[in-house]
Amino acid sequence: MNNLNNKKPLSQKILEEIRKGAPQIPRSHFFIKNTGFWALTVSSILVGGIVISALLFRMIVMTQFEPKVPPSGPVEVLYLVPILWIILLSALIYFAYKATRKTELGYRYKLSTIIVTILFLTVVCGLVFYRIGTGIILDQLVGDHFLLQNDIDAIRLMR
Amino acid sequence: MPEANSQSDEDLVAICLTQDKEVFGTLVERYEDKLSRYIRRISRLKTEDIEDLLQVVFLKVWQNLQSFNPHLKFSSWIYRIAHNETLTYIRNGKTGAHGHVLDIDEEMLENIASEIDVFKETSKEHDAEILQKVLAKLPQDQYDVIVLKFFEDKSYDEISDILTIPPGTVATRINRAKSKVKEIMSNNGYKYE
Repeated sequence: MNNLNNKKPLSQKILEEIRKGAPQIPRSHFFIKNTGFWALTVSSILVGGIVISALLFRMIVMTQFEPKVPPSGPVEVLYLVPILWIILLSALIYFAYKATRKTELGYRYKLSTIIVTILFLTVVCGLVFYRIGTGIILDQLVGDHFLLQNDIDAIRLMR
Repeated sequence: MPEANSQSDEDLVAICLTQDKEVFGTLVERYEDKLSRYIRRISRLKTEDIEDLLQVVFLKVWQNLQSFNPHLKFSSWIYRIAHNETLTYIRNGKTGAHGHVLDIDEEMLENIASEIDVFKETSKEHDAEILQKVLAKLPQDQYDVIVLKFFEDKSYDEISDILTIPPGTVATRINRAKSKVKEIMSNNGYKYE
């Protein structure tokens, strides 16, 4: 009997499972998942844009009020090249890349295409945010809440 | 189901989702042998394991049918599920599978030989035997694209959709596999060109 069952066509076995109520994941689940990954990509680009606006503020505006002497130590180099911002920006770009790859047809695009597009959009957002003054707000916010940034500023002003 | 048999896969999926679940049986019949062969080629599973795995694959297809994107070919999508499920099956240790089983017929051999530019002077029977040994030594990522390109006769775009990698990467892997085949043959003293 068991042997006879095994000989049943596969299509028959599958249809029996379906008739018994084999579950089907609803379309909304996939839609939410795909939209979620796109939302993560867009969020990463927007946050990256804000970070770029702060970076631009540091590099363009702040340096205008600083003495024009070369950095004398590693901390000052850190100040001139805001490495924390760059690390955060890199992390956001990586995050945006991973999220894009997870979208429905994201695998079709080359790594370089995705990275360049994300970078371009992030820079565009950064310029827009800088123009509307997001850079100074974020810079002040970070200065008020993160000791490291204040320390670097203090060292610089003492020179 | 005489009517269903003349419909495209994509049409059958649409019917299956909106009108008649039973049409799914036609899709199973269409792909049972193809997927069985494909699974055998990318794994060394026993026939009983392949039968079990096929059930899992078709139930997974049914489970995810609502996510099928009509911009894709259904065959690419179902091959992708079969590929992933086979890897999961092997990874979960449900089998002691290792290596691959490649049934190389004359047409395939000529196809591969003309692409890779090898096996021009030896007998076909001998060539098939050598090719089996050489392909088994390829890294998995290169082996997968070779199987899909030359054994399953898939286009670069289809391979891209099955393995979820960019088409450019498919081309790169195929080129690397061709070079690797020549290298392995040369290192093992097999004659070519």
